Amino acid sequence: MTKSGIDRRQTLLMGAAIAMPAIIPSHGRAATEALKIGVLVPTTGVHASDGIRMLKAHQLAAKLINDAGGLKSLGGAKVELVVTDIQSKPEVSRAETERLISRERVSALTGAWASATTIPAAQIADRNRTPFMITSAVNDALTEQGMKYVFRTAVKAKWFGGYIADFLDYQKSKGISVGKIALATEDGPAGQAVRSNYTSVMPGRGFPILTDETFRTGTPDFSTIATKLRTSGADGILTCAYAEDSTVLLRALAAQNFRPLYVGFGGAHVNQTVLAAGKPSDRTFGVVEWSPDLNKPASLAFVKAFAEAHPGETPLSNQAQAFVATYALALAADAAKSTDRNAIRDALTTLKITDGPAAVLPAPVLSFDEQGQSPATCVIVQAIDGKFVTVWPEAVAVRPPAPVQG
Amino acid sequence: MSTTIFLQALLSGLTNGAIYALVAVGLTLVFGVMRIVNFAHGEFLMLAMYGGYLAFTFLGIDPILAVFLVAPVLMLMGYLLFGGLIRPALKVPEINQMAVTLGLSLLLQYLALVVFKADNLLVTQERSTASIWLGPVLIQMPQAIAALASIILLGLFYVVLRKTDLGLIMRVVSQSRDGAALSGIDIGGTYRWAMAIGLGTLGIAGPLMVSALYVNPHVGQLFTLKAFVIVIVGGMGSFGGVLIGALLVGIAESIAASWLTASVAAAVPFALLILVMLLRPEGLVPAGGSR
Repeated sequence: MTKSGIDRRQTLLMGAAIAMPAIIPSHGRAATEALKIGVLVPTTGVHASDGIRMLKAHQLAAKLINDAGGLKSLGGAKVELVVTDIQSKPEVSRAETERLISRERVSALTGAWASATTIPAAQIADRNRTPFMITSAVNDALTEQGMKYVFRTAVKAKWFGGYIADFLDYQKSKGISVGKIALATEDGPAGQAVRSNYTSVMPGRGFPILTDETFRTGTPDFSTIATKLRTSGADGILTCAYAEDSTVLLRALAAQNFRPLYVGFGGAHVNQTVLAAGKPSDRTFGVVEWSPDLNKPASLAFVKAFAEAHPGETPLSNQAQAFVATYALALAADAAKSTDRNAIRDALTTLKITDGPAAVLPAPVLSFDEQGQSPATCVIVQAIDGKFVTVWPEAVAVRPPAPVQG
Repeated sequence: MSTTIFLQALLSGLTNGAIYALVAVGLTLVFGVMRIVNFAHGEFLMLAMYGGYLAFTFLGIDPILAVFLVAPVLMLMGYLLFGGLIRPALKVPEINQMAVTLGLSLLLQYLALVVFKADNLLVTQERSTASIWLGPVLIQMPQAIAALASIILLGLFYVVLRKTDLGLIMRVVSQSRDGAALSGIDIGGTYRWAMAIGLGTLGIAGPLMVSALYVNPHVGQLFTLKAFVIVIVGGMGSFGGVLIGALLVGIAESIAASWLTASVAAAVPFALLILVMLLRPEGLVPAGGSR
């Protein structure tokens, strides 16, 4: 019987092959070798529509960099995206992160949409000393636990109340006084996280909360809640609701001729459905992380490039974040003159983006503190004549806020 | 809780209850006559709501008038549904019947997702934000119209079941299918009419509800479970029960929401269901009693 399987010589060869990438230092690779960035996106599962959308923005960033001649300091090296589907599942996100690091040997990672899928990916990346650029997860702890290789372009969840207080202070400085607040939030995890943030921030900033109402998604009648909001004596209403509930609530408020300053939360408010409610939604505000009309050259260029690549589509805030995340990693590699993970990580800590194609987000500077957090900010948009328009902060606003009573 | 808030919650509860009754009455008719639990009831409501939206958006028909267009379409759907799916399902065990209507419910949701996408669609009119004030409290116009339609429909049902031959036949079939068959009553024909009328009521509910709310492919689910609770609390197959059950659920939910939190209020209809099942399993107004 002959020995089947592998002989000693083959074993040696295989061992050498496996050990080779570990022996040869990564900065010793050819200078024109591509910069491999692992992209973790859910293209199947419950978050598929968000994942597919974000992937377009990651790809657009890579295309623009490559079309412009690649990474100059690396001899025109191209950006190569290694895209993987995390199936909207935390465990898949974890496994795919490990695979991209050990098998695909990516220089850096970016992703992974929701906080639930980003947390395991970020932890694995940090443990394996691979830079991880968070696109859109807002969980506070991600940049508070001392992870050295984790960076974030997005805001922290706990900052939202602060942005609204800043905006109300700005309104006050313009003579539009809002003194007392009422809350109306949906009773799911998103609504309740926002609610606890508002209740902890607003009173300390001089905006007492007079009533704090919760409701269930799909409530067919909001007249009781509208009555409570109206009779509370509040002149500002902060909400967190899905778009369909917002329309019913706004109509209930209008039916009572109650038109206070109204600030909705995130993409669920800054939404075509809310505009379709007509007059009741006119002059309402929304707090979002980015808006396509943002008055910033790079932002407008991004919207234009996106529309050229995907005719008829206007990018959303998470796409702007994905675009910037990819760009920031490429700029860091360019600055480091290396595709080495540690070199990119060090370059990220000193990176300062104030202009150029990556300066898309509303904050004046994109940089990362020792916890990897960028000084990100939000914008306030207002529904004016059937369109959401950026009205705050002043630096990126298209126009000043319109009076609430239109 | 101030008096104003309490009165408003009470009035809202009554309005919601009337709207729930409008949705549940068709469900109880189908169950009362045919002993079929139609899990796709909410999806036919969703289709009727899209019908109201399309009639308003593309034909400019007011939702109140759209009722006269959408209700016959829904009746036809009921007629075809009976011949195509329910009739064959009557020959198989009840658990299989449930699987058939459950499958239909999911099929309709996904078909709607393909055709209409997941976006919420709205009917926006002048009266969308109109209201009727009753002292310190108010009722919004679209909700008031739907509630009024519900009361008229339930009255009409009462008359049809008590005073017409069709009503008599339906009552007979629901009491004893075999007895009715022996007396020469066409059971298949009666079932077909029950299904057509049962879904036809949704043709009234749909256009009126889309003008008060919105429509998306999953909107039916918001009402299916509540309609089941109402039908069981009221007594399965009982029309008087539907009204009592719906008002009870509507008011309990509304008062609980204004007094406690939304999450507690959401549990109230189901707590009520368990309570009724333990103390009065035949329902508050058992079917036999209302006939």
